Amino acid sequence: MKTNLKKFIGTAVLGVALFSHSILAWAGAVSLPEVVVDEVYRVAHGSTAGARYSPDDQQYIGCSVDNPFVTCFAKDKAGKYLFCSSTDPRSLAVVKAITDFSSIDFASDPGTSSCTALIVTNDSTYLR
Amino acid sequence: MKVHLKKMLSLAALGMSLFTTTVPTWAGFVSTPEVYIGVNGNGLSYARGSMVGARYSADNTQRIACRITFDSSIPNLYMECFAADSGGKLLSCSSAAPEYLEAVQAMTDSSYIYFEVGRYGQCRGVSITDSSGLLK
Repeated sequence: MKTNLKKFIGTAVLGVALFSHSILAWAGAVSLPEVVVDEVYRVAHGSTAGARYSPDDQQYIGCSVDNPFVTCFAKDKAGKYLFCSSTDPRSLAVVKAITDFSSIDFASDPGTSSCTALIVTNDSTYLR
Repeated sequence: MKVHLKKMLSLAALGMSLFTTTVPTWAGFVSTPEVYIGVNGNGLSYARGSMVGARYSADNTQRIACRITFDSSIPNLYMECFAADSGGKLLSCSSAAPEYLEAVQAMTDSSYIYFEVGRYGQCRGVSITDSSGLLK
């Protein structure tokens, strides 16, 4: 009887300890948008954390800088891919704001693949 | 023997679990303010709060964020900041001022953000603080 009670208490404590881990992950507003590529309108959107921790192994979104060239790229879970590039210093200023909790939106010109719009949002809800 | 092994394993699991839970609470100075929206002495609305304080708050309404937008059809970059407090109060501002754009570039996941809003919704002051105490 005593052993059973001990076992019960031990299990309960373990359960609470494990539960408190998950509570931390649940609390607060969180939104981790996954990558969406629209090949018709040539726009892409997604968050760095949403792509990285998505259940599939396809998604990614990001930008690279090889001054003065900026290239942004995205691939969604269906394998749709889009990129844009720019030598406009303004696009470089935007890319400098990317963190591990950013969402990235970009639009790619259908003829030249140059970036016609690029938005970086750093939001507390994108923190994992 | 089997019972002892089981007991040891469960104690070890419990110990590990408690250890990993408590270590972050004990270690180092931590201050991660939640989002507050108010009016300052100049009559300007302002918002302040940390990324971590907002993200890991007990409610699910708090939020603080800033963004930079490049649109090839307009000459200037512009930035926006927005905040929501636990009571659902909202505040936002926007600006094309280079100093505020640079402030947004300094954001990290351990930032504390403060912004003031002018009469026409323009950002009047944006400051970003990054500090060890603001880390989760």
